[in-house]
Amino acid sequence: MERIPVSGPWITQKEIDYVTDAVTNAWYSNANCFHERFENAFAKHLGVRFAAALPSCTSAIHLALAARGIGPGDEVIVPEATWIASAAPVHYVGATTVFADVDPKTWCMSAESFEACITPKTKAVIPVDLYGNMPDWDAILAVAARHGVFVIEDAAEAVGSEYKGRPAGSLGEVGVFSFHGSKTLTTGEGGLLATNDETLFRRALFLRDHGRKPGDRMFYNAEIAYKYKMSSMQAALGLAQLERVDELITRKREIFSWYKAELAGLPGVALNPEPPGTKNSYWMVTVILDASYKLSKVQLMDLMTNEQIDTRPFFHPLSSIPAYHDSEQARIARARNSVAYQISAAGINLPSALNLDQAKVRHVCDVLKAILKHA
Amino acid sequence: MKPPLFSILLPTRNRSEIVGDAIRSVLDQTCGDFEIIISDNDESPDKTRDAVAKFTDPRIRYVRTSGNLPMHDNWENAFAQATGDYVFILEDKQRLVPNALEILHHWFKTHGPTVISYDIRFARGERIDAPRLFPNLEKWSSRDAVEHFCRFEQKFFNILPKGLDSCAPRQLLAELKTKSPTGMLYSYISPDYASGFMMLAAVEHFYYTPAPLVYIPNNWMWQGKYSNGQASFKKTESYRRFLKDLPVTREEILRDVPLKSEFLWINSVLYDFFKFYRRSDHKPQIDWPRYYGFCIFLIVMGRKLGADLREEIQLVRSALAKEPLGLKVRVAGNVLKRGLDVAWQLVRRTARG
Repeated sequence: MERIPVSGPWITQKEIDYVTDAVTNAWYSNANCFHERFENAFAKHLGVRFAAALPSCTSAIHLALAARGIGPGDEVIVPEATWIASAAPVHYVGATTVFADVDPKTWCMSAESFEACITPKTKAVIPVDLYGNMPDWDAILAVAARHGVFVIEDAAEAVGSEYKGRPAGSLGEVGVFSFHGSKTLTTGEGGLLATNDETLFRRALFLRDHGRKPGDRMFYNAEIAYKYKMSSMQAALGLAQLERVDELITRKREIFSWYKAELAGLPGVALNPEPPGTKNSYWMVTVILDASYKLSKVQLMDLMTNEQIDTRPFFHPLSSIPAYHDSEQARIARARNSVAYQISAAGINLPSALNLDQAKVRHVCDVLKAILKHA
Repeated sequence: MKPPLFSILLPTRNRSEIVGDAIRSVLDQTCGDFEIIISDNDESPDKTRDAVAKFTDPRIRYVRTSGNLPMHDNWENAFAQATGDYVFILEDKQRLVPNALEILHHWFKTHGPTVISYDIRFARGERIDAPRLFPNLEKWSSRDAVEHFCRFEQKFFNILPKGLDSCAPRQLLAELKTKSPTGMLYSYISPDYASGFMMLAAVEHFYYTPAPLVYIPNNWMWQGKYSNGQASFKKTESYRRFLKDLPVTREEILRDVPLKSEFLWINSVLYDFFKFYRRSDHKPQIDWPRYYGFCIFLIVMGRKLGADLREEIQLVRSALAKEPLGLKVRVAGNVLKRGLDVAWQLVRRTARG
């Protein structure tokens, strides 16, 4: 059997046609046509007023923090278990990163832990819709409103997920997305910032273009800022993928349903949760093993790799990785965030690429079951 | 604002203690693009209103009636408020499985705007397992379905896209209403059958899934709790009053059937069939021996439930006495087959719980 990849896109002739159109025609006076179509369609998809296509989700978080004026002396709360991209932009703007524990029911930021992390310096929070899972947004937004904390929803992994009928990325004051090649909806590399806040949006557009006032043709920059713009070819790819987003999400959910059926009844194995009133787009099918298996995620990944099956580790707690390890906040977090440490130690992402079929999923599950039987 | 994908009609009366559970089952859907229209026909002015007020979800729309509408008017009232692309009814005693809307949405995306009927499961426990995400879907020709009805086959009663167990485009339902002989979509005598027969006359095909998208928990159907299903057999006062309040007479209802009893519910379904299944290109014939078989079976079942059906037995006797021996043999064979069929259905349909 050929190697089974952990993630990857679903590209059809539509994507190829749109990108060909962009590389052929989106120049001169048409240079922005695919950006406009993609951004407008994405805003409509989310039900928000404004969207800006960017080179990455990291840049979207960076712009959101910078546009809000967050900087040195401020604290920003991020969940302990997430990809470093959720947290790194806090450092870019010179603010302090604070790590909140996660909720065992959702694997996303816990509202209680978030509230416990709040100090007079707290300016923003970045809850993450991890692997497509939705946190308890009602509770998180209530805490944020009570303390006046700015909410950036990191929906990088959650296009197509929903919370009480509201799409992922539309729940915070700003929503950010990733279109990295591993994502459900991809532009190769890419990201997007979405918001209903016009002032913030204008400021973000200004900052992403080297601090130029809109319409500036004199190269007379008002501030030192950033260069964060997506290319037309990427926007064209994104537009084609967005027009197929229902199909992409349905396939993701179908893949998850295959895993769920195959692994049903296997003791001590938890899959991504989908609490009532939410819809999970299952970017990454994830298993968390019960401690009784006495098998670390690294051992399990090695065994899977031997069988030509690619997996990924559940994100390591940020306070445990070298990049943050020696910071004051990481020391505090390591003592506090027991849930994140527990979940992360026993979790791996299973192959979730959009080119999977049911036979491959069955094979992955057979291998997993055989490994666990002998664990 | 964009209209919602689904309008879920929730007509309710005097069941404020359970209506909240039906609402909760909608709010817990994995597909969030819907509105719930609660048409509150409760005799009490505030019990159902207060039960609904516990929810703050903006997708809930609450409408109060005069409190004494007949059932079909309450359904009609709910439909008049609908703005979604697809419409179905959820009764106050029913619950949606958590992925019901998602399953329907997937099929509407795949097959376009069409009619989909689904199974309603009678559950022993508080809830049933969600069906798998893409369960089987059967394509049915409307004419074949009607031919099944004319032979009184059990399958028909499962697949008929009735008001109560089917989801259809609002546009189509609005057209049915315009063309309806009564001017109503959910018409007397049985609003769900009446709309189902109009549907079959209007569309060439529809889809049916044996997957249970809706269930009735806690054995309520078998206990008779929250169900008027046995009222006709038992000749209850409420059923007599229901018949008396209808805008049609007993004679009109029974005009075209041989066994003239208003307590055999199939007779009112036949009345709805003759009235609402109108197609110039399809004039199916009722298989009368099987009709007798069906009625005898209803009588047997009714007596098991303790109903007094002596008059109906007498009706069958005198009707069959006039018929030739061959027909009597066919009727007897049909009764036997029906008994076996229903026994199998009961085993299959009752969820473990």
